[in-house]
Amino acid sequence: VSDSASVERRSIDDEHTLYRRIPDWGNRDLLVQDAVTGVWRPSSGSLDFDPDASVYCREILLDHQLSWRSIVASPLSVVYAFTAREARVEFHDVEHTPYQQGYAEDQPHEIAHCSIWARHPETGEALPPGQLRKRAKRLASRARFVNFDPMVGKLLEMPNP
Amino acid sequence: LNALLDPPYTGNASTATASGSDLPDGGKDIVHEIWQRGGRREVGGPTKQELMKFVIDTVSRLLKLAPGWDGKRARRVDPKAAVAMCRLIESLIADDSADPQITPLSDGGLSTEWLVGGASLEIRVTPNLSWSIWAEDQDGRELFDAEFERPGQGRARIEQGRRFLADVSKNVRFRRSRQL
Repeated sequence: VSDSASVERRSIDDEHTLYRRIPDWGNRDLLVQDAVTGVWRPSSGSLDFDPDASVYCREILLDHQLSWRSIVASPLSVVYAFTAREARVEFHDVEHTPYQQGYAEDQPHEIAHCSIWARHPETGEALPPGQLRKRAKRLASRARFVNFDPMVGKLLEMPNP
Repeated sequence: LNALLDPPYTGNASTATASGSDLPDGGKDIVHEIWQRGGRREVGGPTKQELMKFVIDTVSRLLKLAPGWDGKRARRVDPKAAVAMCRLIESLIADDSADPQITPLSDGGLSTEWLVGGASLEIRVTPNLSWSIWAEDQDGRELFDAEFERPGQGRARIEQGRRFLADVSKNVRFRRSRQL
């Protein structure tokens, strides 16, 4: 199965976990460190919309014998997680959008691809840039790292080569 | 990038990792040893020049990112946006400022955040050079938020941001500019 049209779209429950993958080149460019506590969190820019923000649903990955490790890309990726409910507090919806165009080849995890849309959670209207970045920042700030220790600023597990 | 910025930020300014462990009288400078290990209130933070060296090194590295650097459709960091970001940072920081933390954006823009005890100041520059600045206190309350169409606009907000940054930077204990 390698195209969007042939994959059944799943509903994403509020309790489902969504993984966000952010690249890391060894410099933690998409993370920020609090200069007082030393604790790291994802930068607001790490949850970027173009026009959607890509996330991967844990439950769909598991249904296909995949895990968060399947979405780790070369050379390194930091993965953080939040629930669909947390995403829906800030944005209109989370939609299962498997195998977006151009991402079908050799990427089985794309079957769990979901899109967060940059629309107001209640009205469904497009969010202006200022609202978008604030909501992205709130959601990123609430996220939990999967493979990164925010206290020491290091990856907990290196991906397979 | 260096050629596009004015002196004194074009030279070999980095002394940020210079050793300060030995005193002229041969004694041990414990303060600097603690400071270099990180995690303690620092004594003698970086100069503005040293911070700008860190900024330019970071931006120069981000300019080399290939398209699709996010594993999806991200565009290259726009060189004009990079220069505009450097100039905005230069206008906001002073000696001992908290470290600016620069993030590439998928549209080719850049974001920079200062995060100090939960309080934050953030600026963004888009590839068309519009830019925004906003600040939140440590409880997440918005202090100000403004957007501008061109880099030359928003001087009052820059001054507001500069004062905010000077105030929160008094509490800095961790610096990523010394860790990387």
